[in-house]
Amino acid sequence: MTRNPLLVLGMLALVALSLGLAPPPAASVSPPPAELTSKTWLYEVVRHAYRWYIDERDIDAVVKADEIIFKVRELKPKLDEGDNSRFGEVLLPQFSLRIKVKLADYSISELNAIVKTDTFKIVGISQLDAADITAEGFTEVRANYTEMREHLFKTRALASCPEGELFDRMRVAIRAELIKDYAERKQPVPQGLQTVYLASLSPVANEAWVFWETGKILIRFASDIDLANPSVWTHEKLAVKVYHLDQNVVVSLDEVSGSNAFMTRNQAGRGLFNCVIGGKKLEFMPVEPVTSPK
Amino acid sequence: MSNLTPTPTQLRILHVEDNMADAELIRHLLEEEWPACQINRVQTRESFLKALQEAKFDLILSDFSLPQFDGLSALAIARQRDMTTPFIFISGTIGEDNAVEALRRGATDYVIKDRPARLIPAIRRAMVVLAYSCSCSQTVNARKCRLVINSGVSFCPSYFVAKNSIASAPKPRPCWIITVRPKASVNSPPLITSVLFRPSGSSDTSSVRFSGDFFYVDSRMSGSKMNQTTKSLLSRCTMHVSQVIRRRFTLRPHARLSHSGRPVLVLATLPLLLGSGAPPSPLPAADTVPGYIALLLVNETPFPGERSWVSEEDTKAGMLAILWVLHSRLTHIPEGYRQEHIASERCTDIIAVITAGGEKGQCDGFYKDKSGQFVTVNRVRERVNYLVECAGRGKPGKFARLLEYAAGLGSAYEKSGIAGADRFAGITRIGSVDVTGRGYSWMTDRDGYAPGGNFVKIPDSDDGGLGGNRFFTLRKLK
Repeated sequence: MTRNPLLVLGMLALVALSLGLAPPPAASVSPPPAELTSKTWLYEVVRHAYRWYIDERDIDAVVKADEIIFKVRELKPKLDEGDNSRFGEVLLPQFSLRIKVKLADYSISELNAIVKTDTFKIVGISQLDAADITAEGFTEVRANYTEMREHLFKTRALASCPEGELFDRMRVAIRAELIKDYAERKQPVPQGLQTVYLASLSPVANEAWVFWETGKILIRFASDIDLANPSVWTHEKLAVKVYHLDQNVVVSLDEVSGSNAFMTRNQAGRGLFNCVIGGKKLEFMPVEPVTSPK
Repeated sequence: MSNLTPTPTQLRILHVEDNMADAELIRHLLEEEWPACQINRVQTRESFLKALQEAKFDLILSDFSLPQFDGLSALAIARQRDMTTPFIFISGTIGEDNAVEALRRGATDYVIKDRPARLIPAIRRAMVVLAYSCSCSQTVNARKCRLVINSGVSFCPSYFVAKNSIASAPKPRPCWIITVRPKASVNSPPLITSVLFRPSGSSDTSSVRFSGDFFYVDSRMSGSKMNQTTKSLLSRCTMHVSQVIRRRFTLRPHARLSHSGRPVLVLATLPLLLGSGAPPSPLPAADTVPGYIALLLVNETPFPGERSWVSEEDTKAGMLAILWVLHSRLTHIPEGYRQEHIASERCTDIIAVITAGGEKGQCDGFYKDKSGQFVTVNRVRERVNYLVECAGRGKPGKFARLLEYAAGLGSAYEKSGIAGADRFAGITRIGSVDVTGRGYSWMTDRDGYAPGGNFVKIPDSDDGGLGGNRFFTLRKLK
């Protein structure tokens, strides 16, 4: 049978349109999973946001508030057969943050990996807009602002850096990244002791940031697979993103509109602070002194 | 078959090492894993040559620098004799640049001595080997290459199987081994060695497809009479060889140079084939329009295990939406604007849209090199190659289907274009900013900037599209 490619594409388009442009189903009114409304979990989410997203300006906006408001709901995207993952959404209207979370529970036969997290993990944070706030189906959770502020202050320097097997696996992965990066640059690999900084980990975010001093790069490892799961380091090619701070940082993305290759100085600064100041220093010889072959 | 399959007692290792302590440590690790392995340690060029002349080894381990010898020379000698024996550097003195050079020259892997735990896994990866008989062969001269097909048997050595799940180990299978050598030199190393599995049953080879950067056969293929099928295979295979060679040596990260500087095939692809009953459809060659499009679509969308992964449907729809956006930048210019406003520069085709702005332009990592060839940075190729590798493991699943989908979109686009792109051509206002185009979060009409993000975040509806955390080339209009 000869297939008309245009027809195929047209059909695909229709399928996607029917999926994508149809009015969204009524928001779920069932209560969200208990974890999403638990104080312990929400505090960790806020702590992650405090470390990576919230600034002085954001705090100024809520400084007179008595309570911090969370709006929480479960999301139910269509998943593959056998995928029992759950998704949720947490809005922080006072900080204009919209946080997507996922409780992964599926398997990947090709990787021989079971992807299962024991808690909801952040998979994306974006700016909140008015439409998000007015959306229905949320359960509202309120927390005492003063209590939360004190909690954030007390734990501001609390670090949970990679240790043990995770540290060991990250070390191997970092070294591999250094090699690849210099191969990419077509530059000689720097010799001697190298310093990298590992940012503190969050129990609610499946990502690890690393700053390599000499190379001036930020490396982000992020995955659906729990970082403590050895599988993620077997397949780290699927988890790594590299940012060259000496080349790809701009004050405003307006300078490079249209490109997805840059990060802002603001974001780079947060990365550096969390790695260098709030993280763990690691020194190692990426290679022993090079001996030229005869 | 039995004469081809080593027993667990026959793992033969040639170890080039001058340091007794290091040698003992390696021996301990090896014997712990393969108690009956045979290790022959040498320290000099002469003893290395002698050992190679006197015995056939399954694996060569080598220090990088020795007082009277060096690892790269050992590698060159080994590769002159045999392109297939795994060669792993294990050294405390190898540097990244030397490591890269070693890999380029044909080393299988390298392990730093202070990380000995990597050794056994590295060996395991390397030890999936291929053996074949040469009882039936036929040679055809292609334009520039000599192409040889041998019937043979693929197998995984029993010492490899013994320490792994037998159920997951590939079974010996009839196959054809295709080698391509430069026409000018019969004795030169092969440019390409690849495998076609050869299910028994009939002589029908019409379903054999040559595509991508290795040859493969789908589950419908069958054929047992080598002589009757060889001609049709060769005639079709030959047409594909030049593309394969060009692609492999320009885009495959595993492509390496021989000691003479000639590109040679790396057998890294063989484990994929050996471990899979039905290798996946590879992407079209990346130096073709459909191949380049497919490469982009695969690179820009999440696969299982990645943080943005939601579902197969989600990723497929993302690919389609990306193609829509690309095409809209070419054909749907909002009134009052020029193409430069939405695609960085004047573009006449979709490749120009993708590569606009250079390496850090519209599509990060996709650009044209000085000769005008559209290429990608290594990281893109590395990830996509890894996805292709994953797709070849076991029964074809989501990885394979997603790759096929991307390949299909790329091919269909080249032939017939795409409808529906106009939905992304309108101007949208985000705050005070006019934008056009749309991310691949196709479930929503709302857009928003991520605070401090390096892309525009497109919020999603409850219905899906949670994977759209990467935005695709939103362009602010002046």
